[in-house]
Amino acid sequence: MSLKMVSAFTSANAWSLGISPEIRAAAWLESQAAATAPSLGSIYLNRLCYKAFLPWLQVEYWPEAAAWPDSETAATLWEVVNGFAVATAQARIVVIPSESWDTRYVETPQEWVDIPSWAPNYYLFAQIRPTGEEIEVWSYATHRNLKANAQYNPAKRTYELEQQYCDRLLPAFWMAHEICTQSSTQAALSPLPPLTESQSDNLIQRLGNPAISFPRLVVPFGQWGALLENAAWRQQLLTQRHPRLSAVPMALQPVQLLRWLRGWLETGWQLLEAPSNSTAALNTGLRSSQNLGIASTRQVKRLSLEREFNQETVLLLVEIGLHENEQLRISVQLHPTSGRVSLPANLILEIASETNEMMRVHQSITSRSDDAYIQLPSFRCSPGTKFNLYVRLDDAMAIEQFVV
Amino acid sequence: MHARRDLTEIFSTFIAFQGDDFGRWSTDSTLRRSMREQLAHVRLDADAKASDSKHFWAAYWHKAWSLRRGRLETAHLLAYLQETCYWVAHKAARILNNSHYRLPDCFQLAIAYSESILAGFKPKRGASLESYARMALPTLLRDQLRQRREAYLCSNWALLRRLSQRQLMEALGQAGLSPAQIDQYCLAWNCYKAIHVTAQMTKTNQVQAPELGQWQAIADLYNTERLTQLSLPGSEKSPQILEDWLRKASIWTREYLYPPIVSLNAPKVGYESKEELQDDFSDGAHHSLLAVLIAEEEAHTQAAQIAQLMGVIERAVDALREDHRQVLRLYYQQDLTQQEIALKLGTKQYTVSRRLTRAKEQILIMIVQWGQERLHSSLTPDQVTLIGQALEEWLSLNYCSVSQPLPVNKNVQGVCL
Repeated sequence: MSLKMVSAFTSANAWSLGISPEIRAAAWLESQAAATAPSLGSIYLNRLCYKAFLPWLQVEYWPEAAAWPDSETAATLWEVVNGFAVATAQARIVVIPSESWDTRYVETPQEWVDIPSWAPNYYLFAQIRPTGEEIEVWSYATHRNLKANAQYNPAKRTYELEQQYCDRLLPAFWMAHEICTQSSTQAALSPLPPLTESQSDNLIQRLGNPAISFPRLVVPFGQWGALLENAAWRQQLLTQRHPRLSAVPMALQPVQLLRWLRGWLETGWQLLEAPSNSTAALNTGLRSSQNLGIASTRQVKRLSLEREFNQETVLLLVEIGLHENEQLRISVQLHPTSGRVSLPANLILEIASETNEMMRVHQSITSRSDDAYIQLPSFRCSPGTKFNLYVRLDDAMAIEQFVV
Repeated sequence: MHARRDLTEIFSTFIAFQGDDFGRWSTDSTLRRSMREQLAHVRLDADAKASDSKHFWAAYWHKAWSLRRGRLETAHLLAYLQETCYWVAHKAARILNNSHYRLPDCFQLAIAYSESILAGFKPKRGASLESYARMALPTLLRDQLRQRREAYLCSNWALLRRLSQRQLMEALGQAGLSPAQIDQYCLAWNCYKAIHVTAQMTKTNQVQAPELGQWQAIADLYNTERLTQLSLPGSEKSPQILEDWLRKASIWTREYLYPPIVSLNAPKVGYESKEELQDDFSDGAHHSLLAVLIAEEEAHTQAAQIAQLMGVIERAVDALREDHRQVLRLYYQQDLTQQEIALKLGTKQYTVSRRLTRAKEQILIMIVQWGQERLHSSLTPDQVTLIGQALEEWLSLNYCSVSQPLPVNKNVQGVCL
């Protein structure tokens, strides 16, 4: 008898995803560096869930999905509130991780329900065992449903939603996300009473003291919620509690392209010119270096596309050239790995960049049979621009994130 | 097991096990009398054609149950749900193959969830109570068996991490603690969960007992937080006291939540329990009966819609990619677990899980397109839920070996492929 038997009961309607030992180790180390003792458990749990779930969600469902409002805020908030928000093109989703195995009800912190600008369209409830080998997203609810049917627990400041109101068919969640309107998923909320500057200063002084372990329970919710809702105050509060907190990097760090010009090699990337490189023989067809400006470099990365029955490997080639005003000219190609003459057919290469704080795909190219390589039209970026590359083949996808 | 046909039987008999398998149908005389009276009652009414079906009577007793939640109504419905519980338990027992949870144990656990099923069933949605139970019960039973499995395997310290506060409070109440003590224990438990996060660092997959320094930290946190979080803060507590509390709490919760199944007081209802089943069905009840009859008229139009929907689902399933249909067949028709399917297809469980959800999503797309064409408006999340449930019901009824009332022969695996 083993724990394996426990997962014999995995539901066909839940999302179950594995967490690799590497992710566990990284989440643990990052949490250690970030937290004081009483918030450690919650920070670790959230970080673990975030690191495993968000990339999974991007690959499986919505490539544009991103932490909301941003990953730094998400990470610092765990110090005081459980859960994190993810934005897709259509909706905002709050993920509530829990170690509890009790499926009779779910608990949602009041912050994720009653702060008007934070209220999501959906909640996803995730269960994680203390040993953290897998996540099971086992139910969901809309904000409207939660507001209408959940019981408020004043001692814990949580909303408790009974199982008969939780929806356990995750395929239906996906469908609802695709077609349901905002108004059918969100309940109306009244604004929190505004705080004056002096009130907020007082609150930050008082609650910024790390000796207060659970600041969310100390002052009336209206004040606490208003303090958190304001980005500047929130930042002050959290920095005061943990000066080091924001310094801990999150997962999914984008590749910093300008560093390449200083000879920097990110994990997984190789210089194309390197003599020992098995990819040196690539016929890139890229134009000669006169178009590459002041300085240039080419790097490649081997991407694995995990399909259901086999694994396809392709090479992602990125060439950058620095021009005046720190403008970068960027070319992107996909090549077959050595030993193969052509790419698999229907391989898709897409580029998405940030528009209105959302990653949107705006160029896409698909390989035909016998294509030796495919490439996106080259483009220019100024420093600070973020873009993502998606490589897809059937159900499989790889994501690479970049910042200039 | 032979399925029951007679209406009186369906609402007044219970499964009696013989060893590990079905023995016979055992009749409860109070229920039999009650059912016969009701049948006679309705036949006096003019328009009684609908009353020949078990679905009508299930709807009727459910309506009566939702009005007064009496033991009699519950017992009739428990009798009605016997076959469903049996087949759900049958599947669970097969998955647990050779463990110490056998078919009668699983059946008892399933029966223990009947009240949740009755509470969760929404007759207005058009499905029958039986098909709702067939869809919802496996999930509830699965949750329970998973918890029991894991509770059996994990240390007391891990158990404490996995509890919900509600479970803890119930166990503490059962152990005879006062509300003030329960609050203190809960705070101690919350402090334990906040401080004790070492599981990840051990390779044994076992959560270890906190170390000395951690108990001190737990005590420090408790002693600070008691002043704000407890209405009766009580005195300062030493690390030894907190350790003692949490040890006791873990033992109590284990005893309370996961007792050996023989001691479950589940299906006491029925079985000639005359003193409990008051035969006091009076005027109010007849009134509600009429309400049900009227509702039945509405249900007729709904039934037509459901039938239409089921047709759409069937076409959508036929239109699926072969590999998607294959996992649905293996999972629903052959009752294989995701792990078994993974083994058979030479892939990982997560892949099977993903393909099952993908297959359902594909079906949902087609149903929703059909729905939107008919309604000319966008769907609400509730409607999407209903569609999802309709799909589940379709799969568990039409794509399921259980629809033949014969125990599944383990040797038939692969025949359908």
